[in-house]
Amino acid sequence: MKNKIYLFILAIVIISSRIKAQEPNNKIYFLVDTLNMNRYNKFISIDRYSPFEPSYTFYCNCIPSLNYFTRFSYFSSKQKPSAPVVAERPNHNFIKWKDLYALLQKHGPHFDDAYELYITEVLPKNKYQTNKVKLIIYPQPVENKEKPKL
Amino acid sequence: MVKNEKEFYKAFFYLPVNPNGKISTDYTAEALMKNFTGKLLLSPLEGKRSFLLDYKDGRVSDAYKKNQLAAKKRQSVGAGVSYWDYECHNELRFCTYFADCYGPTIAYSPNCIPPDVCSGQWTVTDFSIDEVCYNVWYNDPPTEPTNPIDYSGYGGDGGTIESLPTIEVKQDSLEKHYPCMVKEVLNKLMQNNAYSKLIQPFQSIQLPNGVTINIPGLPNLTFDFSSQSYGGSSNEYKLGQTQQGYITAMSSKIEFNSSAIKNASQLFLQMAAIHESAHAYSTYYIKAGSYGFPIDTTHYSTWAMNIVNFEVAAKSQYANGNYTDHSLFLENYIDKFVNILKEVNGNNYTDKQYQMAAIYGLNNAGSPPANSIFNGINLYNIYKGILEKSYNNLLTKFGITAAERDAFYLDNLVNVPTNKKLPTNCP
Repeated sequence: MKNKIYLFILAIVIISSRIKAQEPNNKIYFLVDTLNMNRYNKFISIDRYSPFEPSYTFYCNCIPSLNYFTRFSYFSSKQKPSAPVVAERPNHNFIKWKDLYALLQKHGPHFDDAYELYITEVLPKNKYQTNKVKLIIYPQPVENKEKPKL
Repeated sequence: MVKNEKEFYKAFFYLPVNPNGKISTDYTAEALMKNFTGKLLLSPLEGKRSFLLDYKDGRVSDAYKKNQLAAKKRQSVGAGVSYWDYECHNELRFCTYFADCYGPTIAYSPNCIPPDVCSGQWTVTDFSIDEVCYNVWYNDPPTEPTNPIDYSGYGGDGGTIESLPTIEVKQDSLEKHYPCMVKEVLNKLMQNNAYSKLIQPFQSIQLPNGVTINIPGLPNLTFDFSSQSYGGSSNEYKLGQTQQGYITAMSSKIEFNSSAIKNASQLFLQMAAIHESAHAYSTYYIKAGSYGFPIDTTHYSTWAMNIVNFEVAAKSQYANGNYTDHSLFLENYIDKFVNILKEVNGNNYTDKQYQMAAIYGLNNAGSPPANSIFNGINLYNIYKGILEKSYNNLLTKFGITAAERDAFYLDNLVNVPTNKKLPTNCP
């Protein structure tokens, strides 16, 4: 039990120090309109990372060091609902895909440290919803290994 | 809880079907036995065979008794070949559901009928597949017209599963390239009750009629293989690795080391499967808890852990899964690991050998996470030391020396007799 307490205290300290180092200073907006995207040129899909985390997957290894499709998600539940749906297209200065791609290439896994990305999703009947998303980084694999002395 | 002079049984009641055909979902209602009408499911605390009794107005129903009397009478005169017997089949039982509907909601249903509110939003987080038996009268072959006995209310009710649902965990690639790993290791482990509970959250359920129960948000587990370090200049022997939170947050992908599959003992491959599956379970368990749906620790959750703060645990696991999970395993799972190995292998190994197998790799704290230096103090070194202390305490408790542990490991990694390795051919 004592170990468990240590674990959580240390984890909190480490995580808080990580969070402190991750204060983004720039907001950027990206428009996702899968409804009007030509199916042959579709480069993004809307799926779920978990039952509570809608996600946007770009069919692109935009961050080469991660070696998988670049993906963003946000959390949404009854307690923490997603942003309201609005009837008019928000008046954001949307970033172009090639510029977002360049930022992903530049900042790699530390993209969230540099920018707050908001994705505006086009919904049926000309509705819109904008949510702040975070880059999904799969954790490093856990390993089962030993080095027995010969 | 009832007792029949010998055994204790859990008793669950089925609420009667309403005239409109809907089953009542008032799960908070108490059953007053003096006027209870419905079915009573009795499950022994040991063993999995349950019994379903038919009640009417607080007594075993006349139809039920009539069939029993008819059976005894027939048997007493020795007429024909008819007989009275139990008919058993497997059913989904004791489901725990959650839904994010009007706020996080957890529901428990002994007969696995989700509440009729929040339709379609319920996710099963825990369940059991139990054998349920009904009294059935097997009549003589029809040689002349007779008055048929009324069998209504005995088995064959709508909604029951007629035979054991098959269980699917994705392992296509592993099965294709290493069929013996699937047949001799995974399939044998899946017969073990404790191990089957470990991978239960990841199973899709295929009913005999070909229907797959697809539950939204159900986490996946994939068994695969890859090339990893095994001896050589580093002298590092990896049995496998697990990619946690892969594709979906609660899912995992286990990759066994192809060199270990070819060279290690079956005992160590079993332990690798148990160890990696525990990582997968831990990911699912901690994530579900961090979403506000901790797995019920009182109903069929053999592997439930006492996590103080799921959100912090989830972040800690994300930062360094090796350290977080191995700490939890050392505290919660060692005895369970040992018991599975003993149940699968019997007397083939000593208790100490099972213990040495069970602790394989648990002293691995992983790589230092980013930003582990805080105010000039290397926190990683501190918690690595804590993990090693827990591990060494276990060595002391089990009376295992480092030398005998290493010798046993090499016997199961390098100098392995052929009869202890996987066979090379598994048709």
